Amino acid sequence: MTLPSKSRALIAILAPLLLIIACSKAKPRQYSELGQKGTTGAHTEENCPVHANEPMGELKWTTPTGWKIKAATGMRLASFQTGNDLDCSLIPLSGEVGGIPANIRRWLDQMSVNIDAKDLERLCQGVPKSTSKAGIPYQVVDLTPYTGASGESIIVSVSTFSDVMLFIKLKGEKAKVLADRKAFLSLCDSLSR
Amino acid sequence: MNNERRAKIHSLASGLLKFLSGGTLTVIGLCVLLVLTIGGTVYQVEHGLYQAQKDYFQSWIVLLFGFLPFPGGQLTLWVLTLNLILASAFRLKRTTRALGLHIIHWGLILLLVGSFISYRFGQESQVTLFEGEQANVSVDYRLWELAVWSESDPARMVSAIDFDGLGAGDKFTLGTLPLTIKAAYPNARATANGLEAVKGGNPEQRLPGAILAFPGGAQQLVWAGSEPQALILGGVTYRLALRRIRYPLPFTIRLLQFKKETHTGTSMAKSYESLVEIHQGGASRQVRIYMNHPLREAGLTFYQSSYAEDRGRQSSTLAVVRNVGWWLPYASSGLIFLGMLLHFIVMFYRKVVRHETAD
Repeated sequence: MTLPSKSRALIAILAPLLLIIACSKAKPRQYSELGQKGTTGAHTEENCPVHANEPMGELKWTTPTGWKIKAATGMRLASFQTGNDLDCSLIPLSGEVGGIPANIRRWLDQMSVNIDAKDLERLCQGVPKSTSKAGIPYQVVDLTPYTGASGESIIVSVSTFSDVMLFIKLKGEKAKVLADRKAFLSLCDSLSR
Repeated sequence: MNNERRAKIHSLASGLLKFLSGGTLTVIGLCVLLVLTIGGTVYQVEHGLYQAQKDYFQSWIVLLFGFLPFPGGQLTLWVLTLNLILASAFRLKRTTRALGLHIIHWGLILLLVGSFISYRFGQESQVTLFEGEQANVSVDYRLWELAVWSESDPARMVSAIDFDGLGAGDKFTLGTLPLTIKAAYPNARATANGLEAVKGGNPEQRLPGAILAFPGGAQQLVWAGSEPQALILGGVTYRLALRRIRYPLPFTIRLLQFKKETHTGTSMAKSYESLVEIHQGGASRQVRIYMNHPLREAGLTFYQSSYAEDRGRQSSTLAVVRNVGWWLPYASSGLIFLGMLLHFIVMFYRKVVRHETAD
């Protein structure tokens, strides 16, 4: 059976179109990449310049008095049980973690606190830069003023190294977070190599 | 019987062709685009630009109000492209009078094909460098890849696969490492016990994660928020990372100097520029990249995008765009203009001739 010429023409036009639009499944690819010095994809947010230093290397710290060391599981470098029974952890994460503004927004989301872009920018600009006694830079993001009196709150220290960002998190009931704040800051201050 | 069947098929094909090449389909397509534009604009307010583009304009089917199936932008544009091709091939007469219309149709087809080429083959990424640093890859803004490399390889040959579209049960080999995806999460958070899927959230802030299985029963968790994970198999130490897609550059780019000028008395940037060194095939040259003066090299365009400062050190971010079809909109616009001009001349000439004949 032969098809009419118009039908053949229609098929001739449709077939390549279907071929063009057919989805192709992703295939593995290979490329050579310079080491960590080569790319720094994390430094993309202008509002909160971050510390960019050497690689993190092996860090040391002093456990605050009254805190208990817990097993460091999963991604954690260390875990503590604070004097007020809160959980505090040291978590190193690679560069693709969205910078400080994105993290502040995420933490506030976790606390069910809404923040508009201007307030976020203001908050970011107000994040102080500090260094530990041994010269390790860190920035403490204290979100206790932004959370309700009875709910959960969080204080996070962020140290940006050339290979990872180190987060030290203290999260829990706001009153307890405030009570543990001083010890938390002493932990940040004790960071050394 | 055979003839009857042929006649029936012929009649069906003619009817279908008439509809596919007809103006009715064009009007339907344009109305669908109108609805998509309004829907996408409203959707974007809550879900962000990227997700709106993906769900409304790059999709085949979109669920309006979350439940009503409706043709997506990609489907509609393909139908309109087909409609234009068929209209030019079958509906428009092949006369001098219609030549302008044919050219306009093909100009529009070229415009749509150009859009598809930009969408399918275009790449937008960035390179962020501190002064003195260099890179031979650019980093995608949004897409993720699963990457593996051997720690002992000094050249760091990375094997990678796009993470989007991967799902549980997928098997493939990255470099020399065969692996199976046990679980893949488009958005996840790391907990003390492993990964936990996170629903919703701003698509631009999502951090995907996956659990991988290897021959011999070994399993490894990878998460976009974590540093590359080490895996020792067969005496080889591999690094596994779930990270933004890296696009190899055909050269190495080093940031020599970044300069920023501010408006007097303010910290507001007036202008900023990067002095970079391009190293390719043993030869180096220096190039200044600043506003409206991008670097065009090997099919890539580097635009000065942003900068950051940290304790006296300055970093510069260059947007890297690869668009093989960049010339198509110009060509199609030219064609459309030519077609309209030709059509206008033909119509004008016919009117004048008719007028003179009537006189």
